Amino acid sequence: MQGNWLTRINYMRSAKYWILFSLVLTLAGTIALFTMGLNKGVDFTGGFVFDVQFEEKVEANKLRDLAQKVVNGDVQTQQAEIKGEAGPNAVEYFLRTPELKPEVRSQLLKEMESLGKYKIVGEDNVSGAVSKELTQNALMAISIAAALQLIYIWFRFEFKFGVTAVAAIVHDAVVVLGLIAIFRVQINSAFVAAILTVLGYSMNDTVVVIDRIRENLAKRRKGEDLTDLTTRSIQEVITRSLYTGVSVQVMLICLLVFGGDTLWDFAMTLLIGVTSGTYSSIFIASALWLFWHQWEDNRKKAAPKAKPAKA
Amino acid sequence: MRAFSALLAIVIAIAGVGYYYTAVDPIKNHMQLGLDLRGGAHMVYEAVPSELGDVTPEAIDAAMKVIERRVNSIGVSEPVIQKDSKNRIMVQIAGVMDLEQAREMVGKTAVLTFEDPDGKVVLDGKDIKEAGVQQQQGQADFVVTLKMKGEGTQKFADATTKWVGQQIAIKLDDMTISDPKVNTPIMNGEAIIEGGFTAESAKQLADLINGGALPVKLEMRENRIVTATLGADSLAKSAKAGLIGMAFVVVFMIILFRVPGIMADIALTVYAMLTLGFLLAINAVFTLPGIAGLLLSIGMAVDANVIIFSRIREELASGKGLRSGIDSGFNRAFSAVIDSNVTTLIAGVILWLFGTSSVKGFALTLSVGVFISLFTAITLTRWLINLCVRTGWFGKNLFGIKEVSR
Repeated sequence: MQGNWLTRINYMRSAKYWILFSLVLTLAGTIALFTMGLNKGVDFTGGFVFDVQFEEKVEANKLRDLAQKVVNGDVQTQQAEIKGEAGPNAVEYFLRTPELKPEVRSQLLKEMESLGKYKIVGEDNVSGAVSKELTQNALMAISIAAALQLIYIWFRFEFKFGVTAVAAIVHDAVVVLGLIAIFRVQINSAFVAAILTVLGYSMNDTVVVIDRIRENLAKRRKGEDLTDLTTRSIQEVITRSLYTGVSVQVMLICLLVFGGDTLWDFAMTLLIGVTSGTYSSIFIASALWLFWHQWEDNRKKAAPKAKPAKA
Repeated sequence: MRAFSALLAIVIAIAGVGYYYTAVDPIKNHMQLGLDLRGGAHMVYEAVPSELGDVTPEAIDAAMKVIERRVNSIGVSEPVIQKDSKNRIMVQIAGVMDLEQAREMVGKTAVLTFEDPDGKVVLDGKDIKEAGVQQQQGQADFVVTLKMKGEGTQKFADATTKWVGQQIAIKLDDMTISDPKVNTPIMNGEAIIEGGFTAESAKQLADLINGGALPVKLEMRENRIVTATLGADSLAKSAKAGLIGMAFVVVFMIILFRVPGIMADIALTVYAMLTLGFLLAINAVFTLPGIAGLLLSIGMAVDANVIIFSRIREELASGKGLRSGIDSGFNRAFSAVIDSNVTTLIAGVILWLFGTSSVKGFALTLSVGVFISLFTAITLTRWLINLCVRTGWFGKNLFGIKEVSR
């Protein structure tokens, strides 16, 4: 077929290295996850976040010091985008505190007046009990989604595809978690939605690849070995994978750049995930599937009454 | 020529509908916006066992009525008050209003107590039958009437006998809402609070006392406030991001696939309209994650077209004629398109089942989007491409394949 350089790469010749690369990546992701931890938002930790806009410039550390004194606990400030109409000197912060009693909250709001005229643009207050549930729900939703997808692929394709496809999405989940730990992307309740979307997207991508392998297997050329067949299948779908990947990424980059800071963390998580998903569907799922078959074939060959493997 | 006229008619129709819903009767006015886009307060309370009583379904229903009365008393339109799972009550109050006041009203006023000057609780919410408003005979002032019930009558009689001339504080949680002085012992369980009330201030106090008689203790679990400013800002920014993103995708498709790319863009526009229309038809609430899901689904809706067009190119390159190449391209791409979308749909449905309310919005738009994109990519695009072929203007170059090669 006609095509560009992408359709001429011998993808599966270097399959080992892709797997190795991904192992390193997931290992690094796991280490990052456990050493640095995730940057948890109030939805996961409980506490208060005020989105506060001052009419005149106020130093972040002044605000932090004042808040720290009032609430007598750990306080974080982060510069935010200006929301709505505001003067040229206006400055906006996210002010994050632990859970506050109503009196302390009122006192904080009152003492902040000493820094200048301000208004509260938004406020989130979540108690610890809810956040714990959120984590449990998230893990459950992700496990069930993965299990159902495995069953669907098992049913429509074969068991090995199901397992390797799920391995690929687990890979994506770990990579996303690791990278957002490193980049300190904040996770909130929408994060669960982002992760599940990534898993859905990655699975979608993987299915397109394995669909082609399935088709090529059905009309396998005489003497074509499995490595070549897998490579050919990938060459045939790589253009589509990239086109779709790019159009989704373009949409997400637009959300990142223009969507404002409410959507930033969400869009960033999706962007990392979609990129990883595109990669894993090409290199991981099919490579693992290929290795599995090769390993099985070798074992059969080693056995006395060897039959050619049925594909 | 007929094929061309049909194409032209479709484009004009789409442009017409698009123009109508942006300039004449903006679609924004028909969309039911979530709190995160229009501003409002979202509060979640959990009923916990306490001296007020056990947590029962009846107690929760009664608590919801109390909350409704409280919210209505500050003149908020259409509050959403729902029972969540696990003994939770979710309250959503939207629109322009004093958010602080709403929260004070719903949130902080959980337990009504009467305390004597020593700070001892002499009565609580379950001892009060009701509070009302009366105009004093021949005067401009209003009073708040109090009726006790059950043991309340006796308790109130004891307290008022003991503390004549002193003050008994009526408290909601830690906030004193009234501090009346006892003039005489009240034995019959019917009292009035005087103090130069206007009709309005008397009603407010009566509502607080009635509303304070919660049958069960509520603890705050979640409390979110989005000002109208923030909501409008989020809406404007996500709409802008969506438009720019969509423009990029449209151009990208034309660069990649030329004329078929234009057909895919038409199908994509119809897709966006159908999805929006469907969501409007089922009265879906548009939230920020929901809009993000919609935009994401536009990026993903491209996918089916890309799979199909790439496949057609392959078929043409392998030597098939234009019509048969298009047919076999669509047919062969079918399994990949279906299977890949079902997996996304699985994730969407799970998300919908397990998600919190805002995540549900995202799951809904994503799932609806996937479903409709299947239809537009398989049916509509195919029809449009066939129209193109029937104009007779294109050969295999329609898909960027050189006619002579191979």
